[in-house]
Amino acid sequence: MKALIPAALLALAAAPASAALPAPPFDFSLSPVSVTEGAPVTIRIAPVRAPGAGPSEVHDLYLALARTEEASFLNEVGAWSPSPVPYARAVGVDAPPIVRQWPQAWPPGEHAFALIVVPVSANPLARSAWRYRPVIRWVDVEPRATGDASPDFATVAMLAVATLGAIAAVWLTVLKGRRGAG
Amino acid sequence: MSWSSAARSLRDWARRHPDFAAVLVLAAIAVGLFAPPLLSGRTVSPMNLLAQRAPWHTVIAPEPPPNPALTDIAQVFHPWLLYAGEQIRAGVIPLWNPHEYTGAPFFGNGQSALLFPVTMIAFVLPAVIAVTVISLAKLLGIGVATYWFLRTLGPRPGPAFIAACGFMLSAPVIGWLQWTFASTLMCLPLLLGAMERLRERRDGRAIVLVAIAVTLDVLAGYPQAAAQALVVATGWALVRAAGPGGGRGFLARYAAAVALGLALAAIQLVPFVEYVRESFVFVYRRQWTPIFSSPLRSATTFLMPYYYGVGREAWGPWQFAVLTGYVGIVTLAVLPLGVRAALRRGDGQFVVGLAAVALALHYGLPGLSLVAEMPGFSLGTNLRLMPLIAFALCVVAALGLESLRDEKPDRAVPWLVGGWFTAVVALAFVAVAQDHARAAAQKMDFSLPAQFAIGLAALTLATIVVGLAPARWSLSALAVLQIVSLLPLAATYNPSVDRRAFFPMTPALEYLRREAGHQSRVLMPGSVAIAYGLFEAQGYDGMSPRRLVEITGVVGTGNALARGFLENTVALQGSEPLSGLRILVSPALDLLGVRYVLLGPGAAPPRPGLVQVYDAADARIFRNEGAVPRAMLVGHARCVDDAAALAAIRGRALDPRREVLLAGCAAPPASVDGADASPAGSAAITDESANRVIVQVSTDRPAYLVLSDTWFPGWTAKLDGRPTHLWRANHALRAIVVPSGAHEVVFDYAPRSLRMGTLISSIALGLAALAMVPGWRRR
Repeated sequence: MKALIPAALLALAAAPASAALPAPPFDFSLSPVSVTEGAPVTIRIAPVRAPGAGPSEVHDLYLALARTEEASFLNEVGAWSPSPVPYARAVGVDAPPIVRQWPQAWPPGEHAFALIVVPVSANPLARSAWRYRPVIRWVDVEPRATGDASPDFATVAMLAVATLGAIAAVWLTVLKGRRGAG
Repeated sequence: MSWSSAARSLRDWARRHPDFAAVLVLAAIAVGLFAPPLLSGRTVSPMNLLAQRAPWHTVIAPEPPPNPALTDIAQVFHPWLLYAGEQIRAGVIPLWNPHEYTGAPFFGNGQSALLFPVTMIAFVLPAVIAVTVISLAKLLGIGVATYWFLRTLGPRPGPAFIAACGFMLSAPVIGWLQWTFASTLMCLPLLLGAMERLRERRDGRAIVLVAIAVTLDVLAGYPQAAAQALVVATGWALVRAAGPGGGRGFLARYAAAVALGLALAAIQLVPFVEYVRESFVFVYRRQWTPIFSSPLRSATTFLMPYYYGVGREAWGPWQFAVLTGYVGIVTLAVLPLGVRAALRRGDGQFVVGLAAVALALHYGLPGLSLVAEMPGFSLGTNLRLMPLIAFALCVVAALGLESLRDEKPDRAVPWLVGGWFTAVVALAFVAVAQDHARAAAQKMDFSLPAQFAIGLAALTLATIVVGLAPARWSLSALAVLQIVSLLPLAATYNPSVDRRAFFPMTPALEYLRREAGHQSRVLMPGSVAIAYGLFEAQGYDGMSPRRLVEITGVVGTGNALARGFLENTVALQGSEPLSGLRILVSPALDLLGVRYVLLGPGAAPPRPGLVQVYDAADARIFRNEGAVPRAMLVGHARCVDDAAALAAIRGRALDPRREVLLAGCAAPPASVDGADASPAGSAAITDESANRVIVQVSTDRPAYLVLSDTWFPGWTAKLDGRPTHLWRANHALRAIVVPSGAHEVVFDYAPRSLRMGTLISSIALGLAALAMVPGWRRR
């Protein structure tokens, strides 16, 4: 354990190089985190007690895709907008949790959602105006099975047989081989 | 002599010189991969990516199919090597890159790696050949350094060779091979191996050896990987300190060696730190860096490297080199034995722990995000950990292979290898069953079922051989299996193209060279103006001068803008390119002197004020009549703070032909008449090299000479041979005061950071030389 002390001191010495923005006074979750395209997802945004967040503080909350080159915002009815649209406006840090349905998850893919908390009427894409760091949550939207994307059960069955055969071959060979060697 | 006797002689020789033989085979593999293109008039460079863009679409064939994941190579690393070689051969050390970003540090940008020995190949060979030789040298360096480290650790030549092959030809190494990232991958085993020497020997030479490894790591040109390597090495030192030859003395020698190594590298480090402080990437990452990870399912790439496709058919969440962990089929098969063997020794426990932590960070396992948010770590990205994982797994595999040579019967072996095999193929089968339809929709050439079938067969074979060890032939069979399982990826991932496709000239580019010359900037696809001696305002070096970005708008590839959408600042980490489209739509287009815009044939003018001046099959070129020349005389100045300067430029409230905004003053210099009348005269750039711009000025009254090049610490100006104050002008650019008459103005880049770094490195070099003196050792 003593050996870890220098490493910890080293990390603390580098503290000024850490990210400057504090965690926001809100957290959010997506449920379920893996859905088929078109299925509903429940979005829950709830205030969390953050140091320095006074009771009168209110924010606009944006839900944006965090990994795409083009800005995309989820609006309050669950549709995508190419320009900033708040998911919830002027929400106080002592407000009750917001629980809404994203009625039809789309498009397919593994999406990183960012909850961006900014002062009321501020532009969420102006990073210099951020006071809190975004919160990232993932959801996997699997494509609906249509045309090219439909499973090929015959192929899967053949692979299953091959897998079982390989497992049997390995067990038989290595067990027998070791017995021989022993 | 018959073939059989020759083979026998060769085998006997290899048995007598196993290390030499292993290195020779590693070299043969590396040469075998790169000699064919070298000898057939080709070059290993993804220039086929340019075939998709004007003006190169007329002269470069899109064969083989381009791989967008290699864009950095075509637009950054190979143009840089071309530029560095040309400058060095002309007798200039290129400290500055005037061709991108309206100018940016080149030596100090952290990735040009001018002092790394492998880069120096580009100083002596033409770039078109050097890029291939550099890839070969990196691959060989990684293989040999890994083999050497493994031998110092204990495994015999056979296991060390198989594991070294696994790392050298692994997907992370092959995927990053043409980045400077790969250069750092040879430094980690070098550093750890040198530390083993340091543990065994208490002399100055051992300290210097570790110091050299640290220095090379820093010079290699990928700061994040260098920092990671130092963290790993420090952990290794703490573990080794607890064993034989360790203790506080070892730790003290290690600390001294790291300090000496960093001091030796100060010539590179200090200018880099200066650029970091002036970079946009630091502004963004200090504020917030998104912590991303790879989906756990991507662990299937340890069995099937092309699981997420490659190039145009790729469908995964990240690019190939980020996602793919393939380290060879033998490495995978022997892993459970490796873990068991590793856990029986202190150094092995450290390597297993390293792999576990890196895997947890890479796959974003809960709780580990705290590590990613730690100071220092938060400035980097988790998505560059796969090479570290691959290295650790190969070390573990070497220990596992070594344990196979134990002649004593071991009842646990069948259960370990059989159980592991069953788990791996069962999980891979489930993933393929779930994903094959999604992958098929991407029209992959190599379907998931086919990949699985091949991976299953190879892993079955490897596991059976592992299970049958220690049969005499098993190690040789495993070596062959390992190489065969890795070569297809290594031989095909990095494409080669005809040498004539390496930054070829086209009529449109000749037009730009003739018309724009040194006086104007151009805007064309990519960031490759540097390869043609042209000047542009966009750029890509992973850092971006922050003041320039502040006047143009956020960094980003420009793809969103091209489709008419807003760029997503949430996704940005600050190290993205400053795109040409961003410059085109920015209010600073005129101010930055972008006079020529090259687009595809038949393109419409992308904004008002552009006049078509060239139209041919390769491109259409427009002239921006509003652009100011790079060097220009202005009669009026205002002293403003940064916020006011930015507001004026972004609000298009600045007429750069009439007025210049100066920073750091209360009132404009009294020597210049502040009248609104513009001075009559001229300013022309008459000579220029990487670190110097010479301007001939003639003016009828005192005026400001505004150079629309990036202001940066280290630039100075001389007026007729005498130093004169260099102003930061228009927030990001440069200006000086010139009296009436004809004058020669010389702008020089000689940063104090480089002088300071050179001084520290020189002192460190003296200390290192002293430590190498035999008498010093005895004392």
